[in-house]
Amino acid sequence: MGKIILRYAILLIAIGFLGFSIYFIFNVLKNKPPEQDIEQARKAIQVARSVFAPQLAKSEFKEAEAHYERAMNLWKSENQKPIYKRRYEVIELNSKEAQRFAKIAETKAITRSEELKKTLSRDLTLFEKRNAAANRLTRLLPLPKKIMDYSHKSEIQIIEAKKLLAQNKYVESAAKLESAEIKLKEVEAYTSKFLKDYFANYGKWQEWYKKTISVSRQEQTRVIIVDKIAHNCMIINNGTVESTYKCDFGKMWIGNKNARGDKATPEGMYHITDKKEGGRTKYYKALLINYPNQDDIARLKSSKKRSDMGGLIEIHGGGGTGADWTDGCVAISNEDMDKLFRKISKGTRVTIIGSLQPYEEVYSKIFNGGNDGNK
Amino acid sequence: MKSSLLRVFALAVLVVAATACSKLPQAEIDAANVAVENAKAVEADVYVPEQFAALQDSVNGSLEMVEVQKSKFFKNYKAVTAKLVRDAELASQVKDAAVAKKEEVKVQVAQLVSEIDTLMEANKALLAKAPKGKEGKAALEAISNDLQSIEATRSEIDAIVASDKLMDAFNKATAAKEKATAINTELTEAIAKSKKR
Repeated sequence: MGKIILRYAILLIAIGFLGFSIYFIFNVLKNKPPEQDIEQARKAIQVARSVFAPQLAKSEFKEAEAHYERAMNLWKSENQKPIYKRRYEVIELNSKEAQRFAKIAETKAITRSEELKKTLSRDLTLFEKRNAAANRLTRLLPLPKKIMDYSHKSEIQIIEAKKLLAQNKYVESAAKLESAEIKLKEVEAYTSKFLKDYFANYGKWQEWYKKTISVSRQEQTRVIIVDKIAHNCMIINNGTVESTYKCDFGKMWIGNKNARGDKATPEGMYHITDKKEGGRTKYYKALLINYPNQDDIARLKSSKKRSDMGGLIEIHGGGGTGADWTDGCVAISNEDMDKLFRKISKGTRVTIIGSLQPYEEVYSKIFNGGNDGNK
Repeated sequence: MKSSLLRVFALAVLVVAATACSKLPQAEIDAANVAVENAKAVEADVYVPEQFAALQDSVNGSLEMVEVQKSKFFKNYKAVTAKLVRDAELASQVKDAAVAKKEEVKVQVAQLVSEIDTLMEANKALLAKAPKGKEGKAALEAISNDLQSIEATRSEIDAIVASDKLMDAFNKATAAKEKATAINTELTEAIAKSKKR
C-alpha cells in the first residue's frame, strides 16, 4: 500500500514538474529578449550621429538617445528578475521609438545640412560684400574707434565663418556669421545715420551748385566745384565739366568748418583771392580762397560761439594721395595743380559742396564698390 | 528507483555547473567605461570626433552583448569579456590620438601666431618707410588702424589658447593671418602710390 502511494506521489510530482517546465519554456520562448531591436536602435543613432544630427536635429537626436537609454535600463532591470517573470514589451517600444527618432533626426540633419550649405555660401558672399562696404566707409568717413573696431572684428569673424564652412562645420559657421552680423549692423546703422545727417544739407548744396553752374554759363567763365564725398575737384567751363582732379581734405572733412584747428574743409560759395607759387607756399602751388565768407561769419554769430573760424584755406598741391590729411585745405597732385593754376585766375568762383549725388546713390555706390571718390 | 533519483540529481548538478560557469565581467565593464571617460577628459570628442563616436558605439554594443547573455538561462560571457578588453584598449588608443591631435593643433596655432607676428613686424616696418611729412603718413593712417585691430585679435588668440580652446584659436589665427597679409599688400601698394606722386 505504501509503495502504491509513493508511486502515485512521484507521478504527481513528475506531472507537476512537467507542467511547470512547459509553462516555463512557453514563457521563455514567447518573451524573446529585444536584442535585435536595441541593436538596430543603436545603429540608427550612430548613422544619425555621422550626419551631424546632434547639431542639426538636436531635439530629435536627444529623443532617440533618451529612448535607447531607457530601453537599456529597462532591459537591465528585467534581467534582474526570474526568467519566467521578464517582460520586454516596453523595451521593444522604446527601442522602436529610438529607431524612429534616429531616422527622423538623420533625415532632418541631411536636409538641414544641404540647406545650410546653400544659405551659408550665399550669405557669406553677401556678408563679404557688406563687410567690404563697411571697410570702404571706415576708410572714407572719420568714424569713432568703436565703430572701426566693430568693422574689423566682423571681418575676422566672416573669414572664420568661411573656414568653418569649408570644414563642413555648418552650425559653427552660422554662429560666427550671426556674431559678425551684430557688429556689421552697428557699423551700418552708425554710418548710415552719419551720412544721412550730413545729407540733410543736400538741398543747400544743390542750390549752390546750380547757382555756380548758371554763373559759369552766363559769364562763359571757368568755375571750380569741389564735391567732397566724391573727392573731386572739377573745373567747369561755360557750364560743362572741363577737368576733374582727385583731391584730399582735412581729416574731419565731413561737415562744415567751424573753428581753427578742427581739420574740417569748409562748404560754401567762395572765390580765389590769391595765387601762390615758389617760396610763397610749401605745397608747390596754391590758390587761396576767401574763407570765412559772409555766410560763414553769420553762421558763427548765430551759433553764439566765441571761436576763431580759422582761415588760409587753399586749393594746393601735394595731394591726391587717397587720404584726408590737410588742416582743411583741398589738396590735389602737383601735376593737376599745374593744370589748374594755368587755367584759373584771381576771382574765380570756388563752390565746395558735400555731394553732387543724393544720399541713396552715394550709399549704393559705396555698397556696390563703385567710384566713391579717392578711397 | 535509486537510478532514477541518481539521474535527476546528476542533471541538477549539471545545470548548476553550467549556469555558474559564466561570471558577469563587471571589472571589464568598469574598465571600459573608465577608459571612455578618460578619452573624453582629453576632449577626444573634439579632436578625434569620428574615432570617439566609433569607440562609444563599440562600448554600447558590448553592453548590449552583456544584457543578451544576462537574458539567457545558460550564460556565456567569454566573447563579450574579450570584446570589453579590446574596447578598453581602443579607448586608450583614441585618448592617445586625441592628445597627439591636440598637440598638433597647438603647434599649428603657435606657427600661425609666429607668422602673424612676423607680418605685423613687416607691416610696422613698411609704415616706418612711409614718406615723411603729414601727407605721406596720413595716407597710411587708415591702414594703421587695421594693424591695431590685428593686434587686438592677436591678444584674443592668446586668451583663447590659455582657455585651451585650440580649434577656436586655430580658426581665429588663420583669419587674422589672412587679414595681416591683406594689410601688407595694401601697405606696399599705398607706399608705392605715394612715392609716385
